[in-house]
Amino acid sequence: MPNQAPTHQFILLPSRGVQAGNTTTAETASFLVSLHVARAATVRPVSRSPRSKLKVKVVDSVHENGAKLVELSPQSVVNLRAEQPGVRIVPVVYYKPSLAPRPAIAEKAKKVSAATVSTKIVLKVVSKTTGAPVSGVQVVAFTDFAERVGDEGHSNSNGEVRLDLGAAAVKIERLYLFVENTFWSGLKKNVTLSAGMQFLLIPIDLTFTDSLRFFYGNSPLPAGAGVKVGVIDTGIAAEPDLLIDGGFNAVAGENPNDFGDNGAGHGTHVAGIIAARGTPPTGIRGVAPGVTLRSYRVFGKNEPLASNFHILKALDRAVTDGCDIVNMSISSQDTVDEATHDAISHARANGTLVIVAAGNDHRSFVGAPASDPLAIAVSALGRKGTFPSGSAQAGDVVSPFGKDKKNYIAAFSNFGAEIDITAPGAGIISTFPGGYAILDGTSMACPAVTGAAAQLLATRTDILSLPRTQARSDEMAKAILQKAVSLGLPPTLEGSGLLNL
Amino acid sequence: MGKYILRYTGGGNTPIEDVRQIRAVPSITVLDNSSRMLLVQATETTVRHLLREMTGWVYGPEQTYEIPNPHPKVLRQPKSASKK
Repeated sequence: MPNQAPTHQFILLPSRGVQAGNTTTAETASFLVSLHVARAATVRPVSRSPRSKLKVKVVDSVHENGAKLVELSPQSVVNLRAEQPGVRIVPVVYYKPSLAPRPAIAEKAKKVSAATVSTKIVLKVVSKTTGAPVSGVQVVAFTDFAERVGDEGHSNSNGEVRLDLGAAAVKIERLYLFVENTFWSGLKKNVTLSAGMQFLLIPIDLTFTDSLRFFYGNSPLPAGAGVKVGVIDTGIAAEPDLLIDGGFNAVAGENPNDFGDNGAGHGTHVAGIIAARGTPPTGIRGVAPGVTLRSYRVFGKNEPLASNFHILKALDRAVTDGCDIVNMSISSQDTVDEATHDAISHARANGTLVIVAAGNDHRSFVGAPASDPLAIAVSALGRKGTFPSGSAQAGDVVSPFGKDKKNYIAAFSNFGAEIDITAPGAGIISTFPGGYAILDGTSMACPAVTGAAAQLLATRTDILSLPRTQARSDEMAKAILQKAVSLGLPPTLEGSGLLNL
Repeated sequence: MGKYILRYTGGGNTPIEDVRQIRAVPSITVLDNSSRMLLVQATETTVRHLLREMTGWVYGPEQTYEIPNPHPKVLRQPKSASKK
């Protein structure tokens, strides 16, 4: 029952600093003052709005219009974020005395055994429709999935891959076949592997209804027109389904005008979810094909890592370029540093909304920069029946399930009080350098929110015409979060729910 | 020694005098810059002490982000597998 949900302590702050200042909107300042007045009360609604669902217990107050220590349930956190997007909600952190730790046994010594002769198993991967061998497939076999024990390899030009699992025939808990593009990735559970076994991959059919198209359909081409979206990522390839307005390469030492995909394809896939303009069966359609799409590359050519310096440089540039929304499908398990927080604050103070993937660490805490109080953090939604039988997406189906029992938050998705909203992120078909690919992740859910948000904001010229200040980005956040509908999942998994267009 | 991002939080671009002051510190090497930031190589102590004397600056460590990949990874082979 909602009023018996456990509460936790949080510090409520204005968007910058510990006391309302020049960049604080009048609404946020007024809200903080109202909490100062209410501090003598226990649990009671704070907002006077008849639609307000806020219940806040005020424990302490530093200034009349400054920081507040409050108790909130997970649902109240979600409601507060939707109703007061200009307020930073920061979990209370507790510090312990710095006593020297006592030595402890971390791991028992392993017994050294004589090396045994083992037999490598050769498997083959082919196309289900043509029977042709498929090269470059990452085959991962887990004998113990919980402990991540197994072996992996890549298929060669004959479609063959060799795995060393310690025996000629081995019981496998999970066998994954991860494909970069053109096919659905595969999954076999509880199979006994032996030499010569063959595995079939299903080619992508662009008319297939994946989870993105199930929830958002194929949007009309003008959807999102008038909204400028910046994608901070690996760059965006010039694909037939994509119309790129321009961009910037933030990587030091490279051509600043080279904002095409760095070779990884991740940014191109993200861009297609937002703004692809093709039509099945020859192309695919994004959620907001009418947006003005800009590319901000932060990964070096063929480099797997991006520096937060380049990311913040790209974010500043996207704000200067007038982007209304910036999509950041990147995450790390670090905490948000001061420089990153200021850059996001700077974006919000200049009327730009920053939408960020929560991370894919299998129910770990929300990563940085999504965990920043002023970022919109997105979890990944999945739906049974939106991927073929035998595809890898089946491996991420996990409880709890929503009111509609086919809906779930994918097993890889991080969770926590910072989650603002959810969107489809399991088995998403989108553009990729040279064709199309199916990818999974909060990386895919994030642009789904970006596209849906753009589609919504395109109808709200009253908000888009506001001066580019904190008030503008607050109104954008409010419009998006208040239009989200709960799918019946815990708020720490789905936030306000799915944006309902 | 590490790499740190120095970020100006005030209005407009980084003040020229502030940038000159940072560049003048012998133990700081400026690696990159933008309209609102410097990427430097220095000790954290040096950075912290310097910024204490300057107004409107914050700092954070340079961090790297990987291209996201939700696929489960093998952590170790079965004990009976031959050593690579």
